[in-house]
Amino acid sequence: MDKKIKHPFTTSDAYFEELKETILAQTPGRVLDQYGKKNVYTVPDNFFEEQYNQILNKKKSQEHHLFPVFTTKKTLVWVSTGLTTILLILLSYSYFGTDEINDILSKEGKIIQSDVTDMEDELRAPVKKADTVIVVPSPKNPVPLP
Amino acid sequence: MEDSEIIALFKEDKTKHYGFNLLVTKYQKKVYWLTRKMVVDHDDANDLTQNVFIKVWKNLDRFREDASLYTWIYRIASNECLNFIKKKKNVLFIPIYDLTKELHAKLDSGSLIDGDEISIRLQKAIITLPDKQRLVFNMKYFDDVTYEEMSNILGTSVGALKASYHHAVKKIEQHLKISLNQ
Repeated sequence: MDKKIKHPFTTSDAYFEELKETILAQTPGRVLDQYGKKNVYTVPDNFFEEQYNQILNKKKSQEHHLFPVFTTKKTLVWVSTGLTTILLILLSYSYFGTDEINDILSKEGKIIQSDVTDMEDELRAPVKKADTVIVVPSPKNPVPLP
Repeated sequence: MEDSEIIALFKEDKTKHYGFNLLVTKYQKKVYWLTRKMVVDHDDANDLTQNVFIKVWKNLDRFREDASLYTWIYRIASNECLNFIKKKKNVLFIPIYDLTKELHAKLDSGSLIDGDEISIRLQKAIITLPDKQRLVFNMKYFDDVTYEEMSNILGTSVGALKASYHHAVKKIEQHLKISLNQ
């Protein structure tokens, strides 16, 4: 006998919809779910092939840098620092005038020279001898009295 | 090809270049899309991707296999992105609002952008997040990176990452609601 088994619980589709809503409301991301995960960014045609070659070329150029001090970036920094220094010297000469700077330099030179001379004199001066020498006998090595 | 096979090829002098080429082929797109979502601009993302692979080339010899290759490359890429944004802010003295505005403008320009209005709105909301939170959100939402993997990549605990993602989602939803009501 073909007996149809009836499910003991009856629920409507509306009930499940409501339940889904309740669960979703409790978890963040409900609004976000409607947006999907679409990638909005694109790349030009054959970009990844080109980028692959660019990476390999860059890698090759890195291998040729046997002396890392002379990389393009560092060389540029060195050259620009050198040029700035020269420019500053030229500017200071044009601002103060050659004679004034020479004056300052010679005065500085004289001051330094005089300092050196003073020190020399101090070094060459004879060492003053103390009038008396007091010898304190130590308990281990007693100095015999004269 | 498995990562371990690629590393083995790289460690042999004869197959070093071949191993590296395979590595680039395998991870190039993933790294590009990760950086692109962070910096928005195509040229910046291209430069950053190239830098990531040059760093990989220079350091793969020293790579200890206690983490997976994928995790290691993602870590380099994430750091590259965060440093790039930080530098940009420091050099140009751009306050956070202006950088967000700049990225929004790039999205609006439509150059190499293809998406319906709703997807662009979502991207704009994501851009308003703090940098690291944005990284976490992108990894989880778009790339389906697990919290455990993310923890290895970013050096942050799983709990903190879960909280960060949760906050990010809330902020984005809030932003979307406001922008839709405007």
